Amino acid sequence: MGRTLCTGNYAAGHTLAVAGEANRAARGCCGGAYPITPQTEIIEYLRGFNFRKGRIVPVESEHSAMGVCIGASLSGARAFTASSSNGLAYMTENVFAAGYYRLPIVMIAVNRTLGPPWNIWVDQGDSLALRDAAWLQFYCHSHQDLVDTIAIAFRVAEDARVMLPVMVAMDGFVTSHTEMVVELLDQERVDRYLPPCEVPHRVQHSRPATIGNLTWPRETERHRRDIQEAMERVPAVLDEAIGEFESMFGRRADGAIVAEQTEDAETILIASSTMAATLRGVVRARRLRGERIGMIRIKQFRPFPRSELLRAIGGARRVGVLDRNHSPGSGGIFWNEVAATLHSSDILLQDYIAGIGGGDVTPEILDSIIDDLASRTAAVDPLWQEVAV
Amino acid sequence: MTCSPYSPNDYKSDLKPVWCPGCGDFAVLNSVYRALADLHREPHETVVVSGIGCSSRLPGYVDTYGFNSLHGRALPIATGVKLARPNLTVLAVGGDGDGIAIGGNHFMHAARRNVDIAYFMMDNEIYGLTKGQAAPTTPSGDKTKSTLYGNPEVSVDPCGLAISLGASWVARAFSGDVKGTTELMKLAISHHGFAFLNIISPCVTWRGDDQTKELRAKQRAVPAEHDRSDRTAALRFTNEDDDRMTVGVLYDTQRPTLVDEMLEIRDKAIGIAPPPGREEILRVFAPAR
Ligand SMILES: Cc1ncc(C[n+]2csc(CCOP(=O)(O)OP(=O)(O)O)c2C)c(N)n1
Ligand code: SF4
Ligand SMILES: [Mg+2]
Repeated sequence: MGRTLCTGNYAAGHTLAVAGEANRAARGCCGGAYPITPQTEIIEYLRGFNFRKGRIVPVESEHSAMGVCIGASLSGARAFTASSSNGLAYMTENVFAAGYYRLPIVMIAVNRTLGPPWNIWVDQGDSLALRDAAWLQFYCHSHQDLVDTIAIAFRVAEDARVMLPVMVAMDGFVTSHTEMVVELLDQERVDRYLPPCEVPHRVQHSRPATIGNLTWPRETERHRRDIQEAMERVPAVLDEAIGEFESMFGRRADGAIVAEQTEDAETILIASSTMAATLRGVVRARRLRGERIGMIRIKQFRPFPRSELLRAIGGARRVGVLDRNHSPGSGGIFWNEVAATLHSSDILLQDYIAGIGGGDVTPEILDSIIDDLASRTAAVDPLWQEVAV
Repeated sequence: MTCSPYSPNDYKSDLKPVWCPGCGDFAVLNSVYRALADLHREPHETVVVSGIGCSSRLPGYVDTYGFNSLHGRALPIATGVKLARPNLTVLAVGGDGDGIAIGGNHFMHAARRNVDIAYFMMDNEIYGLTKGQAAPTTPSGDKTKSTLYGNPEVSVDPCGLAISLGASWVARAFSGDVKGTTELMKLAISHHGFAFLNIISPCVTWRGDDQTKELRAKQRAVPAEHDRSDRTAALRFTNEDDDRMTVGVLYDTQRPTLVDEMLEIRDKAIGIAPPPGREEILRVFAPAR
């Protein structure tokens, strides 16, 4: 395809479209679509794409959009959609249903602060509220990361060892509406990269069945444990998918976490999405000044990459987590997970909540957070870092 | 005629509308100011509830109590307000998408229950705020951002829907006619029961400048001989196949509102004997010997 200058939404729309088209020799593709800022251009792109076998249908709400995906996926089609913010909140019941039905649906979540009060800018509260919905979740920091992750998402979701839906998140406006040079995926290679979508429990005339009947507690418990076990198989499946992506497209996509300069680091900062991209510059500058500092970008939030993270944190003394999200009454949601991962260590772990409601977390703010972390002798409750606007 | 203690200006808030120049919703807002002033509604006893959309920004521009709620959810919230404080004037406002697409189910139940609120639907036949996708009101065949090859769906006439759902008062207005819209709003607010006013309010940005001209040319008044209490006759002015737009009161009837029914149940309950005591219950459930 060559290199293209495009927005995050365009990149996501294009990648979903070629993935859908790639299933034309099998049971095609389908999805429901409902607009909401800042993801609307994605579903508009899909509406404009002339699928040879498939259709994206505009419906009356996000609940129905996911409903269409569920029906399509249960019928064996490759299903996908996109949403944001209150759209995801309204869709919630069917988001859980898609996970519990074990359907390999891919959804782009363009992160936007939940209302009220109304706010169109980025924070991760919308998709993180769905962290328990039996979906894999990836948070992307750049347009290229987004493109590669979407393609890989279909591979992992549809793998018989996983068979779970995947949410691929990007930052509203910061990623969705800005342009970057990106290597878009060409149809011919996506056709080869993505095998025909095969949903083993799809409806079949030779095997009439009702899906989702009343169960006893024991059956439900087993169903949930099956999902947990499928989540535990994700690392191996993801590794394979990334490896094959590299041999097909000639570039290595990011894995569950991306650690930079952590080997000898005394201080490590953890962030996700575009905040991690800003952090990178700050950490590099401090390294040049001789500080033993590193960073980890958490890309895969579900399943949470505990062992990868423990390995990368290694012998660091201080860890700061940057959370553009907040669980009221608790703290940052990434911090909670990191704390559970580090429960048996004596590392100083401090949470910084920054950029809630879309405030711009500048390099200067990150610098002051790192200074704060360096000055602490013990961790305190999550700290709120106010931003300028 | 008594002189209103309020002028339309008294209902203006400090917020400046952010609608596009030429948007039909400006005229709707002016009509709301005038109707409230003419009816002497106290600002502190008036609540305007909306969903989300360009049109749903309206409560912010009115100096009464207001909720800019969730997309599609104005009616349940308005119902809650009315049930808790039946003496308040409760208006629900919003777009065609808000009220018929994502919030369509609430339309049915608010109408059926005859909640005593006035519901003004600003109908531009499009999702304006999200930049021009087809709504359930978009005519078949129209090209929009979500129907690039023409809208394949049959469109809905909100008035026809309201009448069949059980609304007790239904009218259609054209926002460009501020005087006419104001009068219809006054009737809607004064109606005891669920009053639905479908206000055709053009979106110059996503439906084009011609929409206003076309709609203006299409409108005609409800004929003088129309019997407003006749539901079947009223339905004739919906889904009109001669491509006209009949403006005025289509349907008007009286039946008890949700609050009336609840008060009646309460009064009846007060007259009922107290619940049985423990001994009485044990006696009833004691095994037969
Ligand atoms: C749950 C949810 N889904 C989607 C949206 C995005 N959204 C905002 S307004 C709107 C449609 C607006 O259309 P309409 O109600 O007709 O109002 P108009 O802007 O045309 O006045 C949509 C889809 C939202 N705010 N919340
Ligand atoms: S987009 Fe349309 S409905 Fe919204 S303010 Fe502009 S003209 Fe009015
Ligand atoms: Mg509209």
